Amino acid sequence: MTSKQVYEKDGVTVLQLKGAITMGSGDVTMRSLIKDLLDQGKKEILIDVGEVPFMDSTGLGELVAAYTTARHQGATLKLINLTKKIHDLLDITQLAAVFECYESLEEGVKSFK
Amino acid sequence: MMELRAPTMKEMKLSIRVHSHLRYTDLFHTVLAQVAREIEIPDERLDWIALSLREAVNNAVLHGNGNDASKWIEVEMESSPKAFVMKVWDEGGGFSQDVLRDPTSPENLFKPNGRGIFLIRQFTDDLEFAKDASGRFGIVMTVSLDDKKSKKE
Repeated sequence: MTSKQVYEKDGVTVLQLKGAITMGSGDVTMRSLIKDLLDQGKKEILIDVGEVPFMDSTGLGELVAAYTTARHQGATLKLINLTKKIHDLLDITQLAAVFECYESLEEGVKSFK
Repeated sequence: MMELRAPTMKEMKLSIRVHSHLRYTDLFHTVLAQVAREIEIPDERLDWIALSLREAVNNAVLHGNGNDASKWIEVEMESSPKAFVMKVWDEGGGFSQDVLRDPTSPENLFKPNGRGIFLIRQFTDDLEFAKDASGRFGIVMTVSLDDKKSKKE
């Protein structure tokens, strides 16, 4: 990925990712970003992938690893703003059944209330 | 080594051989994008074909050549009016298809890896594993350019 931003919205932590998530595309993995948030005690996390145009099997693996890491620590991780491509990838790999996905930040935040 | 031959818009062949390193995955993606423009593959389809190529190259570098940068990989692209074929060669011994697990099965769904070949199968019309005369292992991916035959779009 090319950049990331973390902010709070009504008590929910939002990790906004930008750029393709592919093998070797970044020094910092999604897994480590999530681990940092969990270490800070964050329990409700939204990953905003609205500006992630492309993801390969490594990116999908990072998502899965982030999800399981969060779950094992009693946190919940959900996805928002999926592009059609990312949505199709999750469908094809049947990961759409694993992740709770919402169309907007507001809907994602509301889902935790 | 790079050889590009383009007698007509729909017929072309190129071959690129580089040392085995992940930094070249983006290079092959860029070359594919240029080729796709020449043979008129739509952008929405290109992304899935590019994903397949990236998976095959990463697989060749990491698994085929064991991340050994002294080894070589070669990517061939060949287009005819009916099909676009991509071949990715490495110096490894290949693998048995028996080791490929179904990443969509419940016991594998939460595993972080094992989706590369699965994705290639989804986004290409034919996938074969090959050995060439010099013993190299190759992944051969065919995309039908005949819309009626393609399983995508």
